[in-house]
Amino acid sequence: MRKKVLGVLLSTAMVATAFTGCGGSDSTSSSTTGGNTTTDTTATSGEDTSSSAATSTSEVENVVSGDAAAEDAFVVWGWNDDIKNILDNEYKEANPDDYARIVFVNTGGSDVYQTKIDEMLNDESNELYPDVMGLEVDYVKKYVNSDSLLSADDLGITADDTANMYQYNKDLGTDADGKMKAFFWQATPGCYQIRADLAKKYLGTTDPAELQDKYFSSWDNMIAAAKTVNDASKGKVKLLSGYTDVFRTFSNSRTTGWYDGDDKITIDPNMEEYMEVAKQFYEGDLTFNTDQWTDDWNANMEGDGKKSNAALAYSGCPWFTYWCLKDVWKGNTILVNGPQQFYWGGTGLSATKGCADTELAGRMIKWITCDVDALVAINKRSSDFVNNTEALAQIQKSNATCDWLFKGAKQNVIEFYLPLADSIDASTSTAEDQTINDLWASQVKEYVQGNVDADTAIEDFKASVHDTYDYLS
Amino acid sequence: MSNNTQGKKRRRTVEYGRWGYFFIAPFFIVYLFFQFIPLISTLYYSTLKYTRRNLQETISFAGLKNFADLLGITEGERAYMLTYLGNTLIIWTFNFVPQIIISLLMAAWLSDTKVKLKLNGLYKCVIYLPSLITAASISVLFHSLFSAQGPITMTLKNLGIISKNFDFMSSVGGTRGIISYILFWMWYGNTSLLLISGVLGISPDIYEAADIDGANSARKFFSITLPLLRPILMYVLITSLIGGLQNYDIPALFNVSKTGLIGQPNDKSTTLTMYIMRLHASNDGKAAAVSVMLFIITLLVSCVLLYTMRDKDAEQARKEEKAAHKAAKMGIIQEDK
Repeated sequence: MRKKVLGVLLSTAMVATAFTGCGGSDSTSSSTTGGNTTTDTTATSGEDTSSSAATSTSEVENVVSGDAAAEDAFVVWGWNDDIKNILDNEYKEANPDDYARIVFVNTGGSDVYQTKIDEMLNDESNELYPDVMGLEVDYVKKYVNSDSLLSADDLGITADDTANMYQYNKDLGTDADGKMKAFFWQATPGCYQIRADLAKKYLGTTDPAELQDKYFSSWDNMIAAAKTVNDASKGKVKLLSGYTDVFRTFSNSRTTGWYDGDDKITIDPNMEEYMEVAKQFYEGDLTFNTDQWTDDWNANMEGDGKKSNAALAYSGCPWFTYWCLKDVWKGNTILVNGPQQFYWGGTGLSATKGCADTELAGRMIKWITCDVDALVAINKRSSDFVNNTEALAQIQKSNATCDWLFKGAKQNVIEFYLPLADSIDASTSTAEDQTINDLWASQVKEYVQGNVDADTAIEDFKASVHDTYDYLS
Repeated sequence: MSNNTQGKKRRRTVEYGRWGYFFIAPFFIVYLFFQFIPLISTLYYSTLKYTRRNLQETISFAGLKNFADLLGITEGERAYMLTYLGNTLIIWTFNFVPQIIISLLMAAWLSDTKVKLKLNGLYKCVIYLPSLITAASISVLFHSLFSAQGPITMTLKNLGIISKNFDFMSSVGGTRGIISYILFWMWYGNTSLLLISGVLGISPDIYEAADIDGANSARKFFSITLPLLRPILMYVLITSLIGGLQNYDIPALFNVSKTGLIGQPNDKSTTLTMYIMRLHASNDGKAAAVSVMLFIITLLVSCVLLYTMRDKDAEQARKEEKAAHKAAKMGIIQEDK
């Protein structure tokens, strides 16, 4: 009998571990060089790579451009090709010798970026160990507060160099001891972007001031506008693609972050208001209920509003225009402030502790984020709103135009964003924002669909945050 | 003297037995290093607390706290693990029940010597095909088919089968149902093949005898095929359950939030292994504790299954034989007295 029990025990152990082996193995293999594909093509598609509906670390492969095996390879990491486009165009033109050394790693999605980069940071001998990497606002604080990054002093970037940057971006890139470690080339004031042809048809105007005052100045107005559009188009066109589009407007204008100084989880009144607004959008069937970055969400951006569904407005910001909008929006976009002032996203550049060539890293980051001529050139290609007041003044003087904007509205991008950028406050940003935002979205969905009441949703949210990060409570 | 010669004889016989050990040694060495030692070290890790914040990690000894946390015994902790275990078992059950029924049916039909189905081999190939595709691609494919504006959802809406605002991705039943269906569809071919080989292992004489006695096919199925298939059925059940408890790739890619492996809607399609992977990002100790719990659960369930589904008749027979033996012995002893 004892033999039998032992037999069962051993065989279960064997089968169980054998199965575990299957599941666990691929997540580690993807982080090694073997799992990477090397391409030399310059991908310049406007698709956001994080748009795929389902992503997991083991499934998204890195795309590596350049020769990582070269002796003097200089590795730059990003989750899409935004940084690469700057390197391939403006940087290449100005610094051809440095450019030749660059190996760019695109992880194919912001959501898997942290997992991949964290593993890589522990592995300095890997030939793809990042020398310079991009960091998104949702998690830049995590890296800035770690000791894995070089500071401005190490890189030879002085306070004079960064003097023209927006203060909020400088704060985001600075750690608790006042050392600046991440550098931003763009400022990201938020706004709403309206499709002019649909606005003309369903809201009857393309005048930015009128659109703002009548339809976008408050949440009540926006919900009323959403009803108008929905009724007039018989549900083929909606004001927004999903209620989650307004999330950033609330979250990035908060006065308190997801947790306070004592690591206690806090819910800003803004977030409670978001739940209510989202519920109204949902209950009135005023959006297509898509989540951001999904295929459906993207599809609504290029629908014609007759045969296919189309959304009239998207929550946006400068990078959203050149990075996300589809061709149908070219010369067809009107910008309005929206009901609340906010900011959205931004990419910091940082050099790592194990960086192979600190001097080059310093030069590169300084050029991309501090050099006025470089920033003017970047704006020229992408109409990005750069993080440098002097460059912005020059661009404004040169009367640069943005071909995305609807000519009839007579808007100037820089003039539109300048006042919005001044008041940005990003102090509520925390290291865990990306994951916590996701947990929040999941609970808000439950509330909006009427499965739980608001208090339960908030309690569930707190419990799940604590379960994920047990130092928060 | 006679003892001595016997000993010499024994030594002279060539022992092939030990070569067997050499041949199976590679497996056990690999097993030891890559499976058994990690298994034991997981036990150790499950007693540690990892705090990872801003890329800095501190490790401290936590004893059984991880387990208490998981079971919701500690103040302020929720027993997420039990919820996820429930999710996992529900998803598994709804895949296994139809799977075993259809597979038995397939096995009965495809192995029936009287029916002599044409294109028998082709059928076997076709039903096996789904399990050749990577689970990940199937998962993503089904997600786009059933998403809010996906082709199947739209078709069902246009046909009036589901209501206009129904969304598979925000319905608990819809999401779990589709995951169960994918599992069923991927694995019923494999199970069918196992069962077919089991049926083919049953001696045709028995069927022939049954035919002569005038048994119909239902009778033959329930009175011959099913009882004699029991060992294979046991194997299928237990491997499927172990696989089901460790169900990861399909739910992890099907309807999840962008980060953090939360099975939408509202965590209702999160499985235990997804939870392990999620914790792996923040607290390896807790993740290890879940792994240990999963191991214990698997072991317990397998033992219970093996015990309840054991061949009772055979055991009874063996017991009787033993008792008879004993009685006979007692009889002899008593007679001696």
